[in-house]
Amino acid sequence: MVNDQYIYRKQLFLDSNLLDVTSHKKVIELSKKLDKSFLKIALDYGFISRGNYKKQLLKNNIEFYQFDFNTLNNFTYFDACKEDLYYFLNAIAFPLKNNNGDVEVIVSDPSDTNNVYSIADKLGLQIYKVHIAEDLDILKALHVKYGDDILYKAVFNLYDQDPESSAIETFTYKQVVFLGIMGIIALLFLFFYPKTSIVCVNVFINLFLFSSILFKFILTIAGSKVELESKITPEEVTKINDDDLPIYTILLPVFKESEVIYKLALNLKNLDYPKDKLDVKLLIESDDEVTTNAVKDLVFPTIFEPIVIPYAMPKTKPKACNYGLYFSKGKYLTIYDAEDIPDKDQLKQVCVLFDKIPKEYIAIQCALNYFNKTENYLTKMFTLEYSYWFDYMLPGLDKLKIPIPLGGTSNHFKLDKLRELGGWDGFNVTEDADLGLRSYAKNYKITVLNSTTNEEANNDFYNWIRQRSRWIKGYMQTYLVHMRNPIKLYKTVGLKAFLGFNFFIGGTVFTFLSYPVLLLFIILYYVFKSEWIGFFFPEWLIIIAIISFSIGNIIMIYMNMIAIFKRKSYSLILYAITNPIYWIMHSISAYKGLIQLITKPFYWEKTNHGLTKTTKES
Amino acid sequence: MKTNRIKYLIIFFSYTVIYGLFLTIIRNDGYLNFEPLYVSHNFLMLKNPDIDLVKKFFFSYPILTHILAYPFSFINSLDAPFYASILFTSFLNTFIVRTIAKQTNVLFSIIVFIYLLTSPIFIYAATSGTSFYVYIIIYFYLFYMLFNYVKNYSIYYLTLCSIAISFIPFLDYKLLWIVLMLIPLLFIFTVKNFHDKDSGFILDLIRISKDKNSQKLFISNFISMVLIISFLPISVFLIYLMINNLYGDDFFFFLINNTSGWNNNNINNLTSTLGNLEYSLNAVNSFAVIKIILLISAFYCLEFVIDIKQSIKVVILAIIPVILILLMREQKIEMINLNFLVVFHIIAIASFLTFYKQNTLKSKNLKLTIYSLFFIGMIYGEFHYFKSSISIQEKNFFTSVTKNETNEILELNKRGAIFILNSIPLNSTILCDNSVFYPIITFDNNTHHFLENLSDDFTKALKKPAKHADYIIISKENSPLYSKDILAYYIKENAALLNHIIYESKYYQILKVRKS
Repeated sequence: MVNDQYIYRKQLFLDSNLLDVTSHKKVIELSKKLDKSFLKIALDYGFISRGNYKKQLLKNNIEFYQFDFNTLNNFTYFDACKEDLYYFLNAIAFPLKNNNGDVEVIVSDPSDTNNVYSIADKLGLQIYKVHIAEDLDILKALHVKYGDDILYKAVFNLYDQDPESSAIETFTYKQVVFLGIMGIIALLFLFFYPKTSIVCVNVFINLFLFSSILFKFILTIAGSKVELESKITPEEVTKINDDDLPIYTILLPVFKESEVIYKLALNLKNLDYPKDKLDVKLLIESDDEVTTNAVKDLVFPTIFEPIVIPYAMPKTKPKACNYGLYFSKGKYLTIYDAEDIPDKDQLKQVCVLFDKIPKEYIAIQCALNYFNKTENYLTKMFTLEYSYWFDYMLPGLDKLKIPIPLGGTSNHFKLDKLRELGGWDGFNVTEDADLGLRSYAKNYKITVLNSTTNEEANNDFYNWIRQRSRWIKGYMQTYLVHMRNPIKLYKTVGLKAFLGFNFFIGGTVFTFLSYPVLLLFIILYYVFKSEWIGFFFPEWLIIIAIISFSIGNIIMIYMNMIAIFKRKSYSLILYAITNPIYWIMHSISAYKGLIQLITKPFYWEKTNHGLTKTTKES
Repeated sequence: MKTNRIKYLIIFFSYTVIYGLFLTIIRNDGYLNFEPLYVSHNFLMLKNPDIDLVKKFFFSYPILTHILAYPFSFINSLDAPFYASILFTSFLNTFIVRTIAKQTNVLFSIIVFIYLLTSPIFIYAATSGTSFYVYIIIYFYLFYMLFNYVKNYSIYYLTLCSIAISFIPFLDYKLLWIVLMLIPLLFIFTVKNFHDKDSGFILDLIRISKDKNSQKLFISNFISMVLIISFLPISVFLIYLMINNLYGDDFFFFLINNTSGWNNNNINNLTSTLGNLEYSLNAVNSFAVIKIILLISAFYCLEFVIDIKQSIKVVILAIIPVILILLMREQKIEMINLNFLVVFHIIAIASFLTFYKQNTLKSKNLKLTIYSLFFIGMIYGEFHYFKSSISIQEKNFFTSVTKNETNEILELNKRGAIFILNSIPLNSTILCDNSVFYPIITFDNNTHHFLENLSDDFTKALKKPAKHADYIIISKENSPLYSKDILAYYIKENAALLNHIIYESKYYQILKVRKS
């Protein structure tokens, strides 16, 4: 074996002060315990930083092997890598054959000859030469070359397992036929009975809108009843013995994040959970050079394992999470976004709660809020919205035993149950809401926990519109998927949950789409005194429309006002009065989402992060 | 759980059945009252295709009473107000019994059950058919939530308080002053939020005022509390005013329109015979008000003293009713009737339910004895109140129940209606001022076609009765309602019409119109 770039471990890690003696010992212990290579532990468990490690290698005149990822297909395919990809990922080793047919291996640690010999044993072949490359490049090559089966499952597993639950089809054939028939009937009624038809449509829109708002109000009140209750006490958390804690997987899907990676790394370090029991996966898309370079250049140690997602459509967060799910080892799993700052003891609280609640509970949703809430008008409104959603509405759903649509992050799962459900739907752009409902459809339950993850609120209008259009589009997808067989859904989840789903998911979409229509109606009648309104609509209907629209808006403003109390964000209360303006923004996003539902249903509108100047401390 | 539900269902049905039986008896004896007749009249008018539905229904006041009774109008328009009052009062009573049953033994729950069943105030609420039951339900809910907030300091209770106040504009908009009355309480609650374990109220206040950050937080907290209580009711009321302006060209159309309330003529709230009165309920006579309050507030006084150390509870008990009465004086309300006075009684019940377990009387037997004695005392006081009341509806109820006497005006109207049913051809068109003669219209029960005040046909008929009406009902000059009768103004000069009287009572005439 030729290893002309060999460096002694002591020289590379200890003499260079990358590791002190104690840490070096810990790395060795952990390496044996978790059956991973020395460098893997050192990099992924917060002992050394990638940036400093690379500098040290360069100081030792290491020449890095440069992968050409476009020609990976030309490399020899090793069955051993396919069969046990996990082994090679842990070893950070990529085997290849040179032009002479000799086996060479690319590794990241020039000091670890034992690792190389193990690889040779695994391959059952002799290794002729050792090359050195950055660990991220090696991992990327492994995933891109050998991760195709996993990638297929990440995209199509749910569809193969349960096609009726997948959003791969936006509209099923039956739904198209049904909508077509309804459309024809509507046109016929409009032709023969135009006035009656328009009146009926108006009545329906008004009633449904008002009912949806009233339903949310009832939820908010129900949630406010449990405002002061706490499912977990601080004493229960402090009593925990770290040795009794299970392995916890954290998935961190990222895309084009540069600055935020630094904050992410710091936030993970602050988590109060034994390091050796954290199984953190940083999910990076294979074509995401921005994030890859940011991770490579990190100059402080991080606690995550990079997982590189091979390129495949749809390019969505759920697909990335499904891919990461394959490599997850924990008993519980959660997802955090790049900019998330969870409560330090959130993982421990979840562990305690899972032990307390009945076994049919498979997921826990923690509260989300924003650390940059007072930055501008948008962040203030966003904070109000999230506050009433997570502090009052979801607890209200929990209290009334109605299905809870999960939030984007800080939802904690039992990993085995998540796999049983088929993971996330890669074709649904609000995979979280969908998964929550799918859980209920399989007779599982979800609850909420009063532990907060602070995020960055969108402070840019266009960024907000993009994000919101994706959410509303996702709600439309979720609604269409779960209403493919409404009778079956009703029989599975029961009347309360069925109605709750229709009002909460369907009602939300309907509300934002119909809001501008009703607003226009009111303005035309009340402000412009339009006579043709009076021609088409009887007085009693106009008065009902005015009342339901006005009171609906007042209720929504009021709900936003209630929202400030739990977190004592009193300075935001007057902004609640501008909720109608905020709703117009929602309506713009809703129509954008509706158009995309038809033209590009799986398109993931990327939300730009790291725009705020505010930190959690400020 | 299931056993408890069945128990409370039985309690509910017991109240409903017993009140229903009582009502049947008094109605068979001839009990009539203005407000239920007015509500029934509106339901009957809704079936008339010529009327302006919006103006007739949405601006009838109080609209809340109409909405609550409306579902029962599909069974029977005449009985609808009574069905509603029985049902909702029974709900309230069941809730009270249920709440106290959770805190005490079976014997005491039975005593409470019996008190509510035999209390003249609750009997009146359930069987009078007036909107009184709505007042007690709203008062009860409002104060019960307020007291619970004092126990828990959860925004949940303040929200429910606000929702309760939001219904007030549809019952009696003057009561919206309650929002202002709550502001001092909200101030106290806000100080409590900053409470230090070892300090009192004044020290807390001093501590807040010394620190700028605390001051800022205190002010924003206080403003938030005020907004939470006031935003919903004020907004809802403003929308109602806006709709009034849209359809009636006046923000207070529901008040100025004389057909929108049972006593919008303002004359129906006086008794036809005054006689010697022990007490005057005129709002400006505060001593008399205090005397009358004592009749129905033994319980209130008990709640005041029984737990005087619970400072916030005592403050609430003191502030609300007193300010309410003072504000009534400021508003120059001519009469304070039970609709307002009952706040003393209801706030006491709400306090009793919330703090029963915590009050200073620790001995269960002593508690039982004292409360039972007060319940007996309250029944006596309430009875005596009704005996002394000069509020027309309360007086009607009392005299009807105890002496089988009917109000003279209503009795005359009833006889007129009987004449119309027997002597006037079916589907004849009758012109009369609905705000005065709605009892006749109600008794008629849509057998004949009465022109509604707000319809175009009424306006045409006023100018040309010969063309648009077959019969006319008009007040006589000696009638207490003569000056309010719009027809008396239009028709009085028309001698030809006035000569063709087919029926005459003490206060009005029915005329057959000579067709030209």
